[in-house]
Amino acid sequence: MHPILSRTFQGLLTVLTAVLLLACHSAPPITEGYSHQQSLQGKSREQVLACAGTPLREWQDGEFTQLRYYREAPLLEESMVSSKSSRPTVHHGCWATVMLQHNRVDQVQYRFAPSSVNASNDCEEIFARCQE
Amino acid sequence: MMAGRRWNRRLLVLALLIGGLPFVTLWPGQAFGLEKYGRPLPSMEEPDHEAREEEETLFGGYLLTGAFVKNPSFAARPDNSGLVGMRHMLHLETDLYKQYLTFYTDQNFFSDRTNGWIKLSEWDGTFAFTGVLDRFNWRLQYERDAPLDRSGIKQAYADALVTARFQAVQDSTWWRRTFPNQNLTAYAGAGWLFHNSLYFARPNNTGRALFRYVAHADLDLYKNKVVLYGDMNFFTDREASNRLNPSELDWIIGIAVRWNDMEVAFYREEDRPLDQSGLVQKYFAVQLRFAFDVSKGALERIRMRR
Repeated sequence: MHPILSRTFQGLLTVLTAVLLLACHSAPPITEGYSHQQSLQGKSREQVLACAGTPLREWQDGEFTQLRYYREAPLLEESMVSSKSSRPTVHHGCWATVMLQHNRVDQVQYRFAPSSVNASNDCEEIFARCQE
Repeated sequence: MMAGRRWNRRLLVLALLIGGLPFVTLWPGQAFGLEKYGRPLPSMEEPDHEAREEEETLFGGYLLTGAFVKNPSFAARPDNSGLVGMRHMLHLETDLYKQYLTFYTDQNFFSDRTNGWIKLSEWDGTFAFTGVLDRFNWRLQYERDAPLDRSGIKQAYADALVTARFQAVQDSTWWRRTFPNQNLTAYAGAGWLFHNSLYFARPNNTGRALFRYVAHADLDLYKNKVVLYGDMNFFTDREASNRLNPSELDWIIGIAVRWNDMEVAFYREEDRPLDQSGLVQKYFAVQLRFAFDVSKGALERIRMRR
């Protein structure tokens, strides 16, 4: 094998091993600290509905309200095109639960589905218009 | 000679590592309450945990059309005749059981720029099952590449592929701190072509492919709307003295811009032999993808209207 190609292949093996080792290290998903998630703090229910649209579900219990949203990752993100076919990646999406108290956002929770895939960009996309 | 043996040993260890890791990492989970599909039952406190039902796609796919804007050597038929001018592809997929079992098919067509650009010269059909187990993806695929405008050799194979995934934004605190708005997603793995009917191990149509090693990376430059990507695919030759040594490298580098359900990509591919000199197939291409999907919810709404 040509020395440059040999080094390329060795590099790939290193990357592959690193990816495998990192993949085996199952860190819990990071579901907090995202910019749009934080920017919702203090907004009213009406403001959230205006920028994020109608939620899939809504619960109300006295002074507490919960709005639940879901966004599935676009298929173009999930299927990579190769020479003569495609190569699949993971179908994934993100649940966002907006919790309001006295009609003000108190907390926004993200949950990825499946939990092994960081789909924060999908939840962030739900609230993309909320920062305007 | 010694270097060659060292390579063999390294590759063997790597192959064992790849093959064995999924079992090692899944082993502890098998001791606890499992449902019949082998996955732990969802937590009662989190009924939506792992679920994607609400907007789950019934079936989805995309149409792809591309022009090989510069193509000095990428052949338009499996017998390496002609030069590709246009590429068209239909991708369809459906989840059979959540993210654990998905079926997809690709129907890929090429035209020959030396024969008028329009008339199709090659048809590559792929049928596959794929799924996810934690950070590991598996795939079982059958592919058949055949000429369309004349008789000639047909290449076909069936393979099994396992890849492991890495997401920088989740797996690296340094990355998340340094690039809070960019993500790097990568996967790498190995596959075995357990059935091979004339699927060659080099671009000059010599040898027979046996194993493949793959690596892929997507660098999100702007909100997953501008993505730089790279892909490597190595084949080994089952007829070579060393069946683990790669005989071909196919690499792709490209940039994709996405807007809603559309994507424009500009990329370069090069397929070259590694263990001997020979034909190198390469090209630059521009491609468009249009995605579509039919969700279960949409089907329910249609039923309700009736």
